[in-house]
Amino acid sequence: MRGTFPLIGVAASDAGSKALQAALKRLRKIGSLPDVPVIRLQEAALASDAELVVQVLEGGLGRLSRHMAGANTELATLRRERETLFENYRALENAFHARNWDTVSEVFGHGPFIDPKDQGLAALLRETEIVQLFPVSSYAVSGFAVHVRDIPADETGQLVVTLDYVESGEGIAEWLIPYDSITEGWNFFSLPKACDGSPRTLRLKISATGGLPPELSLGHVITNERYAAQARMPHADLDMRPLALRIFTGLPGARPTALPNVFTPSTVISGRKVEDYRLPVELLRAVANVSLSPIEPSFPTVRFLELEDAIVCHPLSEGITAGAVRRVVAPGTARISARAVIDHPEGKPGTVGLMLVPLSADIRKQIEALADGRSLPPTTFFSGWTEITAEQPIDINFMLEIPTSRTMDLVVLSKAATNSVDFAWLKVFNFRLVKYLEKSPVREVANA
Amino acid sequence: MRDEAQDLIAIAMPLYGHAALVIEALESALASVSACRLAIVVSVDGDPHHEVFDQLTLHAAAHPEVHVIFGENAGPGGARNRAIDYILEELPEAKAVYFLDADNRVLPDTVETLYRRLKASEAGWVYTNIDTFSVNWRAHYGDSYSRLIHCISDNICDTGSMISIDVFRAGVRFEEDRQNGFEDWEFWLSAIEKGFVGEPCHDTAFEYRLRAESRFKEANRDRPAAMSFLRRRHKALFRRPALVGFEHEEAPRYALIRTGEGMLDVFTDPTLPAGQIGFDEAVRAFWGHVGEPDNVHFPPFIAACGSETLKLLARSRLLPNLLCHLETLAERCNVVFVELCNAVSQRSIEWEILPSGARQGAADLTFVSTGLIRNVIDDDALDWFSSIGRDQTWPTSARLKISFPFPKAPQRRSLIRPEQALLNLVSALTTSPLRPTASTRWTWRPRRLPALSELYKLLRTELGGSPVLPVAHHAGPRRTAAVLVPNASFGGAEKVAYAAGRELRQNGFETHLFVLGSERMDVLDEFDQAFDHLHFWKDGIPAWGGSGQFLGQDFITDEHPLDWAGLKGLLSGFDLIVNNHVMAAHPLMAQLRSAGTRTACYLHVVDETALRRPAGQPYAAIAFEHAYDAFLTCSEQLKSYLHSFGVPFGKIFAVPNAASFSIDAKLRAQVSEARKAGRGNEPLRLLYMGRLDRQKGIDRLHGMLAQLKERGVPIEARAIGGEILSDDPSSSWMTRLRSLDVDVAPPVFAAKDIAAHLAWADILVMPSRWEGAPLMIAEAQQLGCVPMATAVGAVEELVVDGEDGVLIGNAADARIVVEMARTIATLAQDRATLGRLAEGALATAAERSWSASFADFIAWSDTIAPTAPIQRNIASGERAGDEAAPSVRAVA
Repeated sequence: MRGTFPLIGVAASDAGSKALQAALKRLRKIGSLPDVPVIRLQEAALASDAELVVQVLEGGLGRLSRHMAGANTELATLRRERETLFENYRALENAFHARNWDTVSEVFGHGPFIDPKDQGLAALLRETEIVQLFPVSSYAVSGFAVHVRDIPADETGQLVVTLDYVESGEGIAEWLIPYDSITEGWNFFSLPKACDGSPRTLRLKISATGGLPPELSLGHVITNERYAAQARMPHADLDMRPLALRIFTGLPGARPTALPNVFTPSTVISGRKVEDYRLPVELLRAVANVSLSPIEPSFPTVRFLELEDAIVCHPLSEGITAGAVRRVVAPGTARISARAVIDHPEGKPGTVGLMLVPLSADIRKQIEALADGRSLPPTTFFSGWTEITAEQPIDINFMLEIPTSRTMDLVVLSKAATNSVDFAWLKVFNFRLVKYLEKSPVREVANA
Repeated sequence: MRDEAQDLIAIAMPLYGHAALVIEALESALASVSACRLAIVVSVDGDPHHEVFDQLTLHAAAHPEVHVIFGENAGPGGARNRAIDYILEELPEAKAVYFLDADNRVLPDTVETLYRRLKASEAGWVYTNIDTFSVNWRAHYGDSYSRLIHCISDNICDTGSMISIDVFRAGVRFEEDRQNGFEDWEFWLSAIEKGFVGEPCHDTAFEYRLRAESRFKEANRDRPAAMSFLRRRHKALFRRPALVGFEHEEAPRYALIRTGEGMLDVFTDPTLPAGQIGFDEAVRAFWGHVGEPDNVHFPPFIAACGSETLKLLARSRLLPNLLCHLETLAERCNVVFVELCNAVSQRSIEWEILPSGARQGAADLTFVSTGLIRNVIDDDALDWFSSIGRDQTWPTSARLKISFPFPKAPQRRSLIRPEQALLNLVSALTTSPLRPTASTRWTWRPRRLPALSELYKLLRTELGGSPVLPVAHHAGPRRTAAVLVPNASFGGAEKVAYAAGRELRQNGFETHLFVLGSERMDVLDEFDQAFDHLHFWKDGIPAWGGSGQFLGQDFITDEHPLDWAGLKGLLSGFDLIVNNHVMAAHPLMAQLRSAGTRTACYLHVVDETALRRPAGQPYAAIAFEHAYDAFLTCSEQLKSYLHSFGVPFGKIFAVPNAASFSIDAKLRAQVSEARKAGRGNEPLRLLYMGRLDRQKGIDRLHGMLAQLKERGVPIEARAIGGEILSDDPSSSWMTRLRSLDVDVAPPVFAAKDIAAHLAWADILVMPSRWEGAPLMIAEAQQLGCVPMATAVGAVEELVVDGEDGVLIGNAADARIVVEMARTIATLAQDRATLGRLAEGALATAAERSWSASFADFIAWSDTIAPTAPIQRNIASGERAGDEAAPSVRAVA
């Protein structure tokens, strides 16, 4: 078969051979085709030769094709990486020659504009997210600053800030910033590394989990709607106004001298797509009581609160109270957060946690293992217990080392922290999940 | 959702010369993340490298979604077309095609994002900005799609776009002529021509590999030739009505503030429905166009007037022409004030330019350029500008007076002055909170498109005219005809031109009368509705010029100093132009014709100089014979004459003149009765109507009347006409005629007055030295008045001697005078013969009509097909007036 791959003409008669030669001659006009040799099978060995051809076509060729396809995929990746390296190398060389060692330079700034009529974005941040496109190319961007005009006292929670590329949807980094770390005025967010590769559009998303979040400042009204801050829900303050924003290039991690603080990313997402989703109410409504306790109280310890979109998970003095929501954690989920509160001034303290259980596993057995202090199977994930006291809301943040590979059940857990669970009306709400997408979903093949 | 998940998208990849890069393209396409099914069709364009074959067969073996088709080398267009045909035949359920060049790459989300946008927008195709790699370059291609920019500026869509399958089903394909380096641009123009539009998508991109040398670069080196190819191939797109239609929808030229209504109309063609924006939106658009001129449009001219004024102007049929004047004046001075006047018998547009500090009366409409407003704001000159609302105006200004007969309906006067409405807008702009941020550009990719508000200038350059007549294609589509005349008074030549306009209009044309070289026209009831639009352009258009000579006759050359831009801006883009003695327009005809206009030249008479050298319009026109598709003459004689100068008979339509006015059946009956009854032996009534000059034979008339008086023939004579008076009153023909007891009266123009004179007279005397085919003969015959005329010009074609009139042979003056006097004396006695001649005249007139005269020409005109791009109905996606119904968004 040497020299003939991947095409060979096979003729079983002289006439067939002649016809095949003529057809192949016509094909020569298509310059891409190599000369195709014709093998004339001899009558005597026709059956065995034909068998050989079938073997070659169905066996070896297929394997070779698959192998080459894999090699090609790898080659394409390597070529792309080489381009980036070349570009970066040149940028470094230019900077070296130019002695351009400025640690950080501001490439864009749009100051805050406080309009007395502003309603504030706090509610919006908790219910959805604010999206702001950067009006400069991503190339060499190493950090940005957003302006906060007011920080409500005694509020706990986190600002969730993510940055990704619009054109490719690839994530860059995520910052989870506790409210008490944020200062009034400009807050600088440092990127894990300066953006490189093709200049693209950067997209900043900000949302909040927890109580009343710090009040982000908007800028002056502008004419370009695409670059005004956007939210899924209409909001009067966002009428053609961008966030007050400063954008910097330079060394990643270097803080502009005038800015008081710097936040480094909590998660480097580099290259993955990030999808941030909240659990819809209709799913929460289906919460099932899977508690493991010898006590059988006269009131329901696990239920869904319609008006508050929250799951009640009242601890019992013995055992673990548990509410399971089936099939709500999508594959690729890397982080789950929720907020919990004991909603009674005299409520006794408790502990709260979240657990992800594979669909195939028995939830009660996993809870049993947890109660006994036994180790959980590697397919089940537990957030750990967090203490909670009356009227002091807490945030539960549950980060997985490896994103889930399959759909899972979510279980809300609570247990007593003291002898008494009087008035310990524990409510868990504001479930928020972050999903990383890395692999292409399986597609149907056209005409398959 | 399930349906969407099953949609099939084809990625078409032409391949030639990129054997070493195609793997990257394929791998990037295979890595696409999409809910749709994908099929990748590689169309190998006779690439001679066998490596291609090896690579692709391996890929196809490993990935069932990869389809490879091999073909002979056919160029990029041919290879793409092969892929399209393959997709239509083999993957008929495909909803869209994404073109990925074999040296480019897509991002994982590109296909999915573009397809979602395609479905949501229902556009013909969705395109992205361009980011290149290897050689880094990037460009922003605007926040909205504009066909106008796409046609006259540059190709704004790379082939790497998501294209609805409907575009291909409608027959759009790539040009396969490899000499044209802009086959991608050409493709989009074909799609526009079929009524499809694009839609930008900034939410994704593809990776465009740019090397130091590229096919695009190569094509740009020969850009003029490539552009010329595109224009030739897509004539329908590059004509004024199509481009103005795009401008009207995408970058309207005018913003009109309706006083007291708080809204602005935005439009280019004032006869099409205008867009409307509120003040707030106008302020946003104004400052947007300052900061991001490629993304935001604000009309380059602003007008203010009341609704009643607008209504009057719309009914005047002068509005497009008025806007042309206003554009020109706004570029010569700061502000234009328009005053409307009610004139029963004429239409005119007159203007004067006034210096700074002039005192202005109240205006009905105010007009400025947006550029001036921007300067006023930038220079803090609001006080200076505010003087337009006071008595003394410090900006330089023009005052334009437009006169026309107002409709009888009562007018409602606006209580708010247009100047004040304009000032309100300027104040709102000046104090807007957008002003401080307007200088910041938020779109980070470099601007690639021209400023939207400057597109009117690009349009001028494209059409070679300025200003560009703001008239687009109208629904219909009606064919359009322009009739050009040098003046519009009561002359026979212009009446015939009006008749041509009337016949064309009755046969489905939208008709435009252009009075070129004059700013006014008299209202003729008979032809007043012959034209849908009326245009005047006086300055820079001479009635005669001798910058070149043809057979010793004057003609106007291209180098002649006249307003070529004005003329071309007005005249380009019509389906048919009938030039009726506008000498300055001849040199333009070849250009207009090559752009798709059919041209016709209407000629009436060969003039004579004082030394009797034949001269006049026919010679100036014959010099441009090749530039005309047709010639119209008033006679067979002139037809033969033109033929003798090399004009083929097939190009000439002899159109016998008919009467310039019609009479109703009642009057016709009365006249017939009266002529039959006769007037016994009462003195014979002689009528002369026309200029009292040498051409018309006024000296011959005088001699004849003197002889009749001398011989005592009983006559009553009446002469209707004017003369150019000399310093010596005794030399006046009026005085001399009166001395012969002739009733001399000034000229009359109204049909009823002419008819009254003709009905009074027994004989119309026409002793002309030269004529064409005078209308007066047909008009006299219509009223049973016997024409007695010298047999000059085409008079013999109108009068059969002894049957419906009397012909006097052309001879020496004395002989003609004697012959006319003898004939009149005879008829004065032989009233029976006179009665027979009158009946003959009536019979001839009854058979004569303009419709019959123009029939052949109209039949020829009917072969002219309207050249307009297809328009699609937005709501249904249906082609207007067509059975095909592609389900894509379309153009209104």
